[in-house]
Amino acid sequence: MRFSLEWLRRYVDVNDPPRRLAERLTLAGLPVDQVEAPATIPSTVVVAKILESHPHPNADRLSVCRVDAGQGELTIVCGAPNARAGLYSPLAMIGTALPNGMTVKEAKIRGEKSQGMLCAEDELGLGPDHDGIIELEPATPGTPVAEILGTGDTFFEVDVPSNRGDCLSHIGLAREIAALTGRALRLPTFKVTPGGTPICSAFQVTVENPDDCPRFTAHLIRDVTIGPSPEWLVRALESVGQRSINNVVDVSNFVLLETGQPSHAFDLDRIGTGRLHVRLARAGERLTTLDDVPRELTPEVLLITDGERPIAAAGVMGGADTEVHDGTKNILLEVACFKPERILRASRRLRLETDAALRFRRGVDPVGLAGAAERAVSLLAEISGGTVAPGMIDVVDPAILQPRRVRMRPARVNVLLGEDLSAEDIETQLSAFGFQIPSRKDSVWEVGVPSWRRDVIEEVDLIEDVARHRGYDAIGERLYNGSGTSAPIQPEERSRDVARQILRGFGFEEVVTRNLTEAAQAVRAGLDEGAVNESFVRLLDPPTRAEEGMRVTMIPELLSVVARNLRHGQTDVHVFELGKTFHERRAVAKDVGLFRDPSAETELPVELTWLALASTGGDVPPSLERVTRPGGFVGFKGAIEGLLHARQVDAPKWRFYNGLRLVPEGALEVLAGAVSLGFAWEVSPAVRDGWDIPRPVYVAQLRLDLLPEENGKPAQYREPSRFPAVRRDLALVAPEGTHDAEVKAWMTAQAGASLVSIELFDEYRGKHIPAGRVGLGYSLTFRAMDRTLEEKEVDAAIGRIVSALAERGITRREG
Amino acid sequence: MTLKNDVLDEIARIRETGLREIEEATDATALEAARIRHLARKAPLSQILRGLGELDPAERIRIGQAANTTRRALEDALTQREADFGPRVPTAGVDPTQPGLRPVRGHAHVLTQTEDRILSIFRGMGFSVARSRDVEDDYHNFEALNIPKGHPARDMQDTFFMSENIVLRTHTSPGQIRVMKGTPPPVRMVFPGRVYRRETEDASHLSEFHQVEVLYVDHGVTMKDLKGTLAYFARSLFGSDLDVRFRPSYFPFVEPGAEMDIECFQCRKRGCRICKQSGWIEILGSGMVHPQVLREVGYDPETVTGYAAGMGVERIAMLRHGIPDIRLFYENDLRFLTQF
Repeated sequence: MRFSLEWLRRYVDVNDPPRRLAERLTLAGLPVDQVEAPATIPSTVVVAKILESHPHPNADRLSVCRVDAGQGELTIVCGAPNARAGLYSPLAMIGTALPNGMTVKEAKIRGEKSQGMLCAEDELGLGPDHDGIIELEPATPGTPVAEILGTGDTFFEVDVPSNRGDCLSHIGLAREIAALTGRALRLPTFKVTPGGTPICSAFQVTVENPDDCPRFTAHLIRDVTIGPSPEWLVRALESVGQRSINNVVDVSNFVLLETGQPSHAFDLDRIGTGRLHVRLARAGERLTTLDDVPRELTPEVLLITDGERPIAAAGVMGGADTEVHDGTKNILLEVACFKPERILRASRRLRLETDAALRFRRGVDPVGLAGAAERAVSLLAEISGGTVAPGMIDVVDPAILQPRRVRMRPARVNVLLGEDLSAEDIETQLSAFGFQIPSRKDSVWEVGVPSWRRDVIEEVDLIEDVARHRGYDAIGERLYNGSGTSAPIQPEERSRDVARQILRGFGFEEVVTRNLTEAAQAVRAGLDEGAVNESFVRLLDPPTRAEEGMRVTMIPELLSVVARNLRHGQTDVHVFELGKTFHERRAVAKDVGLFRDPSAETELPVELTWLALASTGGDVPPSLERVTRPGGFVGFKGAIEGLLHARQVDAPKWRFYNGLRLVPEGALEVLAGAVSLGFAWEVSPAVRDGWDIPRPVYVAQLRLDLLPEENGKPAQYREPSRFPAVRRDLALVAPEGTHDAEVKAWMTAQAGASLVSIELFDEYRGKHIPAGRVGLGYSLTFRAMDRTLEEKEVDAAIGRIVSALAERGITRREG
Repeated sequence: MTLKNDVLDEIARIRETGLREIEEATDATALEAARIRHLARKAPLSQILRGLGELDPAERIRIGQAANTTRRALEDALTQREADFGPRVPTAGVDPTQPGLRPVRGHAHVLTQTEDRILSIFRGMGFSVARSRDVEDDYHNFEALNIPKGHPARDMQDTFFMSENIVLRTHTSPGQIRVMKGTPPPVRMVFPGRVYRRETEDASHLSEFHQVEVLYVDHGVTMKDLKGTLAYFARSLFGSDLDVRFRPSYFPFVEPGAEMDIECFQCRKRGCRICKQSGWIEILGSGMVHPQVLREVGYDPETVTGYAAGMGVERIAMLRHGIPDIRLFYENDLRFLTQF
């Protein structure tokens, strides 16, 4: 909220310089975002009278003005739409340095000479307005504008916390300043002289929902004259950025800014029934609000009716029908308080944000409300010349007028703050904010809470005010002595660290992508549409189509990253992300495989944590300065296996797609023993086209939480053999489609205990190999623990292997 | 005597000119010329050394020492310079100016690096790490954190709803509730995670971003501990000589609530663009855990107290690395990612 220092000074003396005061408020929990010091208008900005104004011959929006600036006539080119003959406006003469840093120079603008600049509000630092040049009251041309304008006022933009609705007014902030600086608060004094028939015999108010409207007051002012407001009132409103409308509306706005209490003036004669009734709206009812917008109402909106039709949306905005107008004679002034939640819902429903609704949402003072009403009534009588009818209608739930007490043990202050404050200190600080302590000597205080402090509900709230009054700087610092208590790293965190380090070591870059996405992205990545839609967790009210819900796969985002970087000229892209996917529970509830829920949750959607990878294949420009990564799917698969190896999965099992959810046809599944860990596939050319990726791309998603953890047992030593190894290479010719794992299993079965490893070192087709067959080169290593192997032992093993393979159609290559 | 001093002067001269010539040689030829001039068999120094035998023993020792020292100095200097003009392709085939064949190495995302740094400071102080759900129910995200329906704080965090009761968490604080409900005190934990708010995207706002939550509940935890621990954290992250200040602020689940600012590391309180002329930079929100929250999770606020804090990871990363736009983190341009 914007506060005027001059306005605040009506209620409290402020001697500190504005910046000091701003700091004091900030350190007391009322952060001042901006201090706007008074504008100093340079003396070379003078009053000028526009004598003539013609359209600029070479520009549509400009005009050429002849002005009288006191010392003769000048020609000025001006872009303001309101530049016209007869207008008085500030003229910055040649050489003036404006507050915005600009210096005015003589110039030719589109061929026309300009000997100065007519100024808008913002150019003189007087306010934000740039719609037109300032229109001054007639004055002698040549008079320095500083003598006419320039209030000398300072403004504070205060970010009032949401629990301190009481500070959304000048008296509210002044009260806080008084408490913090130890000065007295001066409340405005005023007098009302009633006359005529009492309101009670002239009007009636009923409230159907006292819960939503705990207090409703009404005053009647007869024989008012609607007209412009006096200068002081116009100035006060304009100083905080509000425009003057007429004397009645201005008083209502002034009282809101002064006390924080909204009010609404009805034209009494337009309320035909002589009564008001407060109730919830019914579906289908309509109300045209003050802004002339017809609005559909729902039962979320609290209404003020005349007993029959709606005439105002309570706490949000009045209706156009009963609005005060130029001919209004008699006014009914409503000053009420409404339940914050009701106003929150109503203003959301109506999509109406008003100053009144904001105050009601933050909670107004139900006791102080009557004083604010009196203040408004007295100003109305004074300014509009009306007579106040005796009495006030007051429909009130007596419970809300009861003084509130909060139980507090002064000893708890020190328990929580870690300080050593005396009861006397605590009393002094609380009293400054208006809290009443019956007897300081007691160990339990029943502290009286001022009616405007609706945020104070229990003991800790009072403790905060003690701390706030002293300033948090006064509290000491105790550095936790954590030596020797460093927390153990949780297994999940370890998994993350290991995965990151290994993949970075393989040249993968970590990325972070968005979780909010559209379901169609997953389908574009080749996933089954039915499965995606079943799993997709949607937002009720998505801000955009691209953010309609939570991702069910991480692959589309990674493809986007790959595509974007290829477009930027990267030659190859290898990325990974640690992230989540989200699934409707009913879609994956029965999954025993990759999509099973690791949590014990039963209601909320399933969240799965993955390690996702994407890697481009294809040719990479050769380099003598950078190790070329192993290419192709085999290289990608190798990176995954390298990672699994670091998680103690030495022999992961790979197999083809077997009905996994949310994975395209043709994907490979990787398992540790019987536990599925994730999947990998090469993105199909059709999907790649959708992302405009011209190279092969391989992707994978592994369940981070299923990667085996270190089981806590230290690895046990196994003695390596001291005897030499014997290596034999076997060149085989096998039918196409023979699986490496099968070949190795058959060999192992025949080799005996001394076989220690088998490695595929060659695979080729073509010359010397018949069509439909493939040449495979295996290297076998034999070694015994207890002796040097004899050649004939190894020969015998090879013989057994060769004949076993021959039975399966795999022959040893000749030569 | 005269002779001896003359010889010593001569040696000093040889040393001086020899070292200078070696030092100033610009190529292998010039260096070789210097070697021949000063160290070859016919060079003056060699002649002096050869003539030592004709001197009487006392002189022989003094002159011999001086000449030998000079010879070694010249030889050492020569060896040093020879490396500069060595043959272009020595036997090993190495061109020393050609870069090695470097293994490829990726980078951790700058957000991860920042998060790691934050977590490791707290880990060192005995905090353990836990992660919690992104999709939350109203109870954990609001209700249990002392933000009942209709509370103005629900205004501040515009929420994404999946249903009336299911939301995307607006802060990492629901993790507090989940952990405390399952663990008796003491609890000393940090919770990193992604949070969601309905925001209009611009250079400093995104609808998804990351937070780290801090929670310590134990017997006798006071506001002094909050200040000490969080100030230590801020100084570890931004610089040990920086001023830290705390000021009251409002979060429904803490009371007293406190915002922590650090002295602007750019302008040192003078006011600049980074701190928006205030001299201070807001780092995190914190406070003493509200007794209502403790009661809600089954803790007794009369016997245990605690503090909580929450900070934005993107914001801290932007400050530490001078990153001007929050959207850069999610664009994943490798030219951005590999800078950190």
